[in-house]
Amino acid sequence: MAKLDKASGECLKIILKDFSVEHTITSLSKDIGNTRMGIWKTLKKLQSDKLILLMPAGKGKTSTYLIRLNWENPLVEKMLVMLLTEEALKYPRWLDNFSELEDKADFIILYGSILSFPKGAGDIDILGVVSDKKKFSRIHKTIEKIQTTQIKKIHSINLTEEELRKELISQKNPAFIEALKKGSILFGQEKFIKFVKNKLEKKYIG
Amino acid sequence: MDKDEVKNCFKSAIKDEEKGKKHKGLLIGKVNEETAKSYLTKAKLNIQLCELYKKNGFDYMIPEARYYTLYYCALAILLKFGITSRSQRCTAIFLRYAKEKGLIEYGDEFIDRITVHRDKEEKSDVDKREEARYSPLIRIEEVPLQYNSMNSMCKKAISQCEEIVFSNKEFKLPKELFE
Repeated sequence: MAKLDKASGECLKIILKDFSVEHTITSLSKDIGNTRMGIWKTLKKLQSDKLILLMPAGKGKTSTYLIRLNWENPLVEKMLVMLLTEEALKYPRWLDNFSELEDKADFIILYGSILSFPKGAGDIDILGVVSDKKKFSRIHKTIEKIQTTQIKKIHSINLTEEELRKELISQKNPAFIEALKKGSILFGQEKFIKFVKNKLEKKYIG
Repeated sequence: MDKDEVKNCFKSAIKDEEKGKKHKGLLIGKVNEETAKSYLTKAKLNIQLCELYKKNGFDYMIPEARYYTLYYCALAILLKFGITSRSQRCTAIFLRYAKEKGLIEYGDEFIDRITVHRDKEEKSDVDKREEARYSPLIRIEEVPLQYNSMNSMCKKAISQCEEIVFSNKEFKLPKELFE
């Protein structure tokens, strides 16, 4: 398995999670805080490892590149799972608090100020995504139980995959786009990746 | 808080252990993250018990469950320093010392409430727990009146305890305790 350095990992995560924009070297450079040359080298390495595809957007030599995850390579999903799990492990407090949700939702995203500024955050924003609406009541009950021990209000939004897809694609809901981009996938990393791959990415490729 | 009081808690535990007695102090061992998390879980279960007691009219059990919410939080924090306690008095003494030394960020109120007072005139939640547990009363007037504010207080303690328990920071005992 190709080893990933920090910048490569960050690039892959951004390409996956921030699906709403067409990434360029400049945008990735801004998001990650590396130079454009550094990002270019990272992308070329990811391309040579067959983890991403770089497709020229135009015919000219200087045209920009479309950057895509190479889903044909089975390693891509596995690496993304590892990267997202690694990111979730940075929040052991919330992994512990919301552990009872793990088997009740397809994937759980923690987002908002609780990630960057837990002490000052007014509430705890959490997005639960399920394949079946019947699971909503089990999630509600679990959240109510967790709330009995938490001083901050848990602001929980629960959607089906289809509802989330609509919010992201049709409504272009900035709150949900931001939640996916900057949030942490606490549980269900595999299902989240499949959701992006099957329900979101297709809309932008080809 | 005088460091000597903390030192005495350590010394008495060692003495008792050496004599093969159950100690009544503080023992220094290894930091145990998992046991600290277990105490935190137990603290959360006790705050949930308060709700259960309230719903079912077992008011007199609430001060005890509330006290143990705070006490288990305290034991969880001590374990981050590698300390196990078999003394309510020493638990509060150590927490106050750690707080005053800037080793932890934890509300004074939560420490005051689990502090054991020797003087009859001074009271804390330790006394309220005992009164509720051992008195013949099954209804305590102040319990329902104070329920919401006490519940919020316990949740704040849990929140601050979580900050400590899930912190990556190393909680070291100051050298002065070993001099």
